[in-house]
Amino acid sequence: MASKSLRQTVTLTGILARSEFKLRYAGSALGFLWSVAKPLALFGILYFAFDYILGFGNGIDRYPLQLLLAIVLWTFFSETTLASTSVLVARADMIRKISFPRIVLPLSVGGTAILAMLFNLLAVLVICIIGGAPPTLSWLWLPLIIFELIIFTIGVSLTLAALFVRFRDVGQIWDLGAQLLFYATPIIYPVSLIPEHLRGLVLANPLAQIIQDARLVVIDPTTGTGREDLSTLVQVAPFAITVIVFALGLWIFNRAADRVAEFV
Amino acid sequence: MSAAATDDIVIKVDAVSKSFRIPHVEYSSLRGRVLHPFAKTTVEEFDALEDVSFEVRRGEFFGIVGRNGSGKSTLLKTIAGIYKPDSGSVTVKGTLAPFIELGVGFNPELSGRDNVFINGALLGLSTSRIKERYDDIVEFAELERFMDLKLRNFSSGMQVRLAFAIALEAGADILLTDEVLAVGDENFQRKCFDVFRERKAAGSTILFVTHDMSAVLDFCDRSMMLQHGKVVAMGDTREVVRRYHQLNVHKDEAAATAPMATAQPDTPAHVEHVELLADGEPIGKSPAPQGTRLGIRVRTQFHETMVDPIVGVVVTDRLGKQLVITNNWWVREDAGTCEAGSTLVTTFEFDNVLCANEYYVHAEIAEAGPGTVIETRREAARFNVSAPIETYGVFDPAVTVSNVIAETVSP
Repeated sequence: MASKSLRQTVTLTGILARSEFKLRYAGSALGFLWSVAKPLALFGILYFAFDYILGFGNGIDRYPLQLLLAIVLWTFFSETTLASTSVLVARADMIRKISFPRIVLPLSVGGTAILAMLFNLLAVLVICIIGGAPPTLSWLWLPLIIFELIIFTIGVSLTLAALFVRFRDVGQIWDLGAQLLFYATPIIYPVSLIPEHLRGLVLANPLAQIIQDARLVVIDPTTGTGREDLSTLVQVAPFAITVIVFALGLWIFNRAADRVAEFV
Repeated sequence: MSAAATDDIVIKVDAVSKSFRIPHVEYSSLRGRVLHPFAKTTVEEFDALEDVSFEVRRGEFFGIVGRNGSGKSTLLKTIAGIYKPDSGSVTVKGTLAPFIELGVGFNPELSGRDNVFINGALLGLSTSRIKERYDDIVEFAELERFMDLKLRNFSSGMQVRLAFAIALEAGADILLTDEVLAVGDENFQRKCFDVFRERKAAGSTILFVTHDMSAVLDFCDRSMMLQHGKVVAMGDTREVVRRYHQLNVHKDEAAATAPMATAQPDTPAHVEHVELLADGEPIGKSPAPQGTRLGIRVRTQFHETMVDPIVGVVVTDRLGKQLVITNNWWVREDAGTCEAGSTLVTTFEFDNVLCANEYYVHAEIAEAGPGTVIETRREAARFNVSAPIETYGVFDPAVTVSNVIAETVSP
């Protein structure tokens, strides 16, 4: 029985993720190219504001590439968590009429976003090659870093999805929380601009670690992640938080899943 | 209970209760809301199911009837695993179709083909299994030419056909259906009923929730009636249907919810069976041909001895219009003395001049005299009439026609 429901979870997640991806761009002339165009546009805006006008990138090696890579990873996180929050309520008709593993719904949101992220990364890697960051063996680390990002994102998404069913305020709170997190993560600014005494706090955030590590392995293996001279605690914290968030998300979601049909 | 009988139970619902908490939030004013954001909201407990217990055996067609809001759907959802009972337990043996409605998850913007895969996966089918059965699904739904169209271009009948075809492929040995039979055109409906009969013969179990009393009578071996979340009647379908009418047509709650006995010892007689004949031969479910002698045979069982009981039948059309009313008293055919424990067979025969259509037979027993009505069995039988030519109206009494040009007036 357990293996049957696991198989159904995998099958259903895959099918729903793919059809959602298909639907999102159906009927638009550029089709799925929009999934690449949107992060690029966001990159353009942020680049103009923070580098061209405010000069954040002054003296930073290949700042545009660093910014672009970070935006792609961030977009995956924010899209998945924001869409997962309300997914159980949005699919209420399904939940009320058929019994299936409820976890499929937030997972398929993640699946759709993973597809979009893969296209984006492909574009980013091409841009990297053109923009002066040729492929190196260290690129092989990237899948592992992406895996960590997915685990962390799913953990957060499951928690939000389960809580939203009972407390609709979670939607508003996370709208703000995601914005806060965007500025608390070194996406638009380099780690060197963070005041010394806050650096440990900022870099304990799994998203900061993921983005810094991705930059390290993709763009420039010689620059550091900014964590090197910090305590062991800060070195380990992002990974520990990722595991805890994922486990907590699974636990909260499974506890809520039984009664979801009554509250959506 | 013997071991064999226990093995046969595929659904066991044991003292299931379920209540919902309905919060009452008072949004009297925006200011009040801002000033008291955490004001206590009052919660009303609504008992959707109270201590419901029943068992369904393998191969049974089990009907659940009741008015809107009586808890039928909540019960079905609890059995399907959509709701978790507050107390009590549901035990299911075998594979259970997990849905209570057809076509869940259908997306109008995707092609028919994509929707087969989504819906199939929701029902627990693997992708390879759906691929394997895809052609059969499409063929059963009669949609070969349409599968690449978006679902929103399908008519509602086409969507239901597709949904039903996928649901059958889910291959569950227990099906839960909530009013799904009354869909599709007549041809497809017949196909669905045929499938149900086949499934039944093959040992499938079906739980059937409906308002359609004639479908319940046609299919269900046993039935149960819910009222305000409680089981108020359970047992023989005909008796449950009779009580449903008592409750909803005659508003006689006391009689409808009285404890059920299998053989009503309190009534002196009981209509056991009504059967249709054509030229003296039982016709079963096949249509009665126009032009033959239509027979209605009523079997009445006596619990007490009665002298010259009146047995009557009424034939109505689908809308309930009474077309033929007759009984053994009007035609002076006395039944004589019917001893307790005996069964009286009364046969009414008349020329079948009915137009091709569907008709109902209602049977009634009364004391001699004419005295008190003992039992009225509404919709005790249903039959169709077949005719060589299709006419309108109610009767086609062997009409002859002649044409004569009488005179010609010169212009």
